[in-house]
Amino acid sequence: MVRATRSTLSRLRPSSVGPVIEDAFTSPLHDERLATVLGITLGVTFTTCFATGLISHGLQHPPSWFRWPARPVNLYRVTQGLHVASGIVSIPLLLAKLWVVYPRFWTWPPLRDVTHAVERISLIPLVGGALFQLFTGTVNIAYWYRPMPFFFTVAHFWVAWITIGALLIHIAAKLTTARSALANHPMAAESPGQGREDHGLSRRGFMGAVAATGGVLALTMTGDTIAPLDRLAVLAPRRVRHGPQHLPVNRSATEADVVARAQDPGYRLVVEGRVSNPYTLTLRELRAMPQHSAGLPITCVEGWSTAARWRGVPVRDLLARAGVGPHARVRVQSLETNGTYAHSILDALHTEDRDTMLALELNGEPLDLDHGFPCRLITPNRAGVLQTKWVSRLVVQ
Amino acid sequence: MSTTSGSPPAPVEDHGRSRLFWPSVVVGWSVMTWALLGLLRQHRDTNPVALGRLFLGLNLVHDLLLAPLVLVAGVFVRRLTPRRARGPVQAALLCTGVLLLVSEPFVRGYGRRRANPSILPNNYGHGLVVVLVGVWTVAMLIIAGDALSRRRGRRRPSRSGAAATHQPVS
Repeated sequence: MVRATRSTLSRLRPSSVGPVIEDAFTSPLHDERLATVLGITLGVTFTTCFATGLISHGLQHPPSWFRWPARPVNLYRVTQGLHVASGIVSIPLLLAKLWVVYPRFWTWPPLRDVTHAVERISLIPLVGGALFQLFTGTVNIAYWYRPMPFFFTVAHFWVAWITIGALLIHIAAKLTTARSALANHPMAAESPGQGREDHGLSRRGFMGAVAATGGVLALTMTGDTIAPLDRLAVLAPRRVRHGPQHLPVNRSATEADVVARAQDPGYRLVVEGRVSNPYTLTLRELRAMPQHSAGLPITCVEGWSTAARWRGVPVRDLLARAGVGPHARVRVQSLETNGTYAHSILDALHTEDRDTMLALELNGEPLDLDHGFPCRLITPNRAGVLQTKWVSRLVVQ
Repeated sequence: MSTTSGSPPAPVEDHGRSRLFWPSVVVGWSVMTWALLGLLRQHRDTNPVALGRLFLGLNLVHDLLLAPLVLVAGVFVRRLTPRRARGPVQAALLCTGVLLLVSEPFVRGYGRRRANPSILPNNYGHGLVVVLVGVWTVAMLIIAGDALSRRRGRRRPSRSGAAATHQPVS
């Protein structure tokens, strides 16, 4: 039955026009070795993106076994910067790979047998997932949420797993082909002048162009985090020293609807929960407590980061006053009542760190309203969305 | 598949796929099913219908719109560009196309918010133009450099013949 279907489909192939005819695609760039090299490179960038993405997800939605250290302070800066950069660099790689293998989209007959069918069908979640991840990642760092009528972080997480599952199948399906394509060395045999004759770019030239495009994108979109390169980052969504007190803002006080409450003279910081001595503090009393200074980065989940100088009251000191040791788990509540990040959870590893504080000053000045006045949480090595602003309550759990 | 003597054949089954294929299908589809169930379980956040539409839509837009456009552009480049300049022009067009695609939401400034001017603070249209001028300048320099070196290569046989007659006698 399968053979009969295959034979019928072969006879039905359009013989003279269209992309399904044999040799419809004449460019030498539709080449097995090129596909393999691009595939391996994409495998590296997507795996890097996936691993660093899992870290970021784990930070924000930690499973019970997940432990994220407070040191080194710049670790998350590196992992999240790598996440966005590897995603951006994957864009020209993926488009190039899809171009190189495009003739296979028009393979006739479309399904040869069960194995071929399974392999081809498994490509749908791979290509769709890869395009989805890169598209949603890019529009997210552009702060353009309209194309995403869903919550970005949740959708991005689940589709990442779909993509990785499909990638696993693709790697296994192509392992033998890839080995023989790499063993043949047609690109090494190609002289510099070849390929430019009629079609233009040689295969090596094509790889060079793809690599250069990835480099241009990485530099112009993510170079802002590295001080000497920030002038070249003309397409970066932020300037890392642009904003109130030389620090960008993600969610302003107006957007969080806390302007009045944050500036209310009746503001009180409440420390409560599983404590022997719950208490409240006015802003003046908070300022009267021993202050601590630390240089800590703010690292946004969108990949940019910058160093800043903070001064405030260590959280462990506030807990000690309530009769609690420094290894407590604390829920940090904001004055903001709506919004996903209106509170965060401090685990013991971060609570006990001396540099985890409720900051009252930033870069030598009283904290700006948009940066969390009257006080905000700042901790080493955590995502910016977890550095709760306009803190009103510490609830020991 | 031929092998050199002494080296074992690659483990193949089922039309050249490795023995890992079917186990990978089991694992891969298990992972994908688990992820799909998670996505559906959190349907309030993931909006599965809209997500699915975007997922498939991107696939179709690439295969039925973007790739054919690139094909058509390729035909025009071959017809309109001198043979020697074709490579650098194609490379510059590749870079230009990707830059235009990726920078579009930044240039349009869709994400800008009046309450927060630190978001998208740059003039992205200007930045894009600067980058594209740089890309095409490099392409032109490569074309010019290639033409220059070919011209030098054509002159070299007469120069080396003259040099041979002027070699110093020891």
